[in-house]
Amino acid sequence: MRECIIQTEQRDDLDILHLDGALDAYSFPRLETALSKLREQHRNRVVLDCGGLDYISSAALGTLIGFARRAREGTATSSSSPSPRRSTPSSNCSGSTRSSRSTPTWTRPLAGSRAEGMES
Amino acid sequence: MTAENKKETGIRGYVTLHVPCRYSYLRVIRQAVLDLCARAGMTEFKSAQLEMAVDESCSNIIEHGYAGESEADLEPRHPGLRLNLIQHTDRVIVEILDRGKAFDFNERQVVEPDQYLEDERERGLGMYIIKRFVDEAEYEPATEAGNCLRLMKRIR
Repeated sequence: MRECIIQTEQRDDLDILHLDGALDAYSFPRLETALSKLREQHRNRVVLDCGGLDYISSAALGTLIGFARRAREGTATSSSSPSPRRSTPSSNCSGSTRSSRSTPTWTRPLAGSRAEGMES
Repeated sequence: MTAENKKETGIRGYVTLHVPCRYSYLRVIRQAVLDLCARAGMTEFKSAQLEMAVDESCSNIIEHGYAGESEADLEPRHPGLRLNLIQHTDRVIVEILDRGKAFDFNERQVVEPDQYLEDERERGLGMYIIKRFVDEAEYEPATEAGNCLRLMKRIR
């Protein structure tokens, strides 16, 4: 079980957050801090790279949803790519690296992935 | 527990944890849950569901039951969280015991993921994970050992 590491990469007006390890109630404040910094700098075009993410808790997922909402309110964009290796079954991301001006692409597949997560 | 007792109760193994009331110990708890699930032969998917239900439960206890993490200097006297991880022949049971503020588990509403996304909530998915990702979830406040949340996941 790996420690959470968040690395930020800038490409022109786009920021890529590489998320690695576990985002749980202990580590998600680091994500909040990273996202807050971006917002303060009015850098609202963000791609979340969840490829190295082992675990995400509901608190961390809420942080992402909150950022996406605030970013959208600021007429900005966010997207994620690719899906975490293990995640809240209802929170699988799109796998898309594209970002959309009007609607964050990563929110759309969330609702559609519910059945996938309901094996029991 | 003797071998004879284990045979009678169907218990194949167990782990007991006593951890401080701190979020940094959640990964220790999750790892213990995963290890016992692997020992029981549970699928990775089901193991992850139980892991998440336990993680969310413990987070809730720290945040709401104890109103936050324990102070470092008071930690030795803080009751913290006790977990009994029990591997039966056909199921894994996790009992989470705490001495914090109890709550009405049955009255606590579950927010479905569709509603969660529609409302763009930032909190509230935890109870869905706790109640839906396991086969049984029972809560008994103020037992002799403290408040007890008991989560059961079938192996097959």
